[in-house]
Amino acid sequence: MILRFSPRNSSGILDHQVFLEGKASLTTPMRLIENDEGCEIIYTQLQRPGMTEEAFTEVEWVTSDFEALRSMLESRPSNGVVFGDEGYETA
Amino acid sequence: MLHSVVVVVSIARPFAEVHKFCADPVNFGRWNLMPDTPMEPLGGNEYLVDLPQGRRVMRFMPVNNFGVHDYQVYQPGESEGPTRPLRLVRNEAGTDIQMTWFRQPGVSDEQFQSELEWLRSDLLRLKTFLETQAP
Repeated sequence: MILRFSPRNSSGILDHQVFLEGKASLTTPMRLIENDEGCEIIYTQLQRPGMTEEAFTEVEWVTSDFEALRSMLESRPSNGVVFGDEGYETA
Repeated sequence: MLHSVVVVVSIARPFAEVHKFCADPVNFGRWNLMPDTPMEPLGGNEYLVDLPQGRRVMRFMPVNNFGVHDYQVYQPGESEGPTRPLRLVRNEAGTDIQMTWFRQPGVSDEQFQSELEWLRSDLLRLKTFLETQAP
């Protein structure tokens, strides 16, 4: 499987495209936005052709991934990353 | 952190068309609650506009390729306001508009629900405008 990510940007866009051999690529929109002193991830689940209603509404595997990301980031000390116009820089 | 809700409205127009429309701030004056509202340029990405809540400054994000159209609304004389995140994403031959609405400090449950209703009706007005009248 090949994953292609959006170029680094200051809008918090984290879209990624999944390439599976013999299948059309899938783009998943994802964005990080600031919320006070914290931030939020917005993940868009699209109901692809052929996807059942059940599969579409079953998002537990997505939320558990994000819970893991949240735990990892919240348990680490701040590393002084600065959010600049051209993306992310370590201070 | 603030409580937030993402409101999504699907527009049956191509991404490129919706993105181009939203990229010109002057178009805001064409579809909002008071159609043909003048947008007085203040320089940069700032415009003075009469909104239902009074005269406000709107500052729009510079144009980008990601469909991000964040903006701020604040009182004239102030230097900035809370950012309102707005993004367009491709959805097959159409476009989804996704707007994140934050519950600001001091806003009651009831007031927040009312703000969300305003937002939904605004976005539906934009959808109708783009699907029937634009460009």
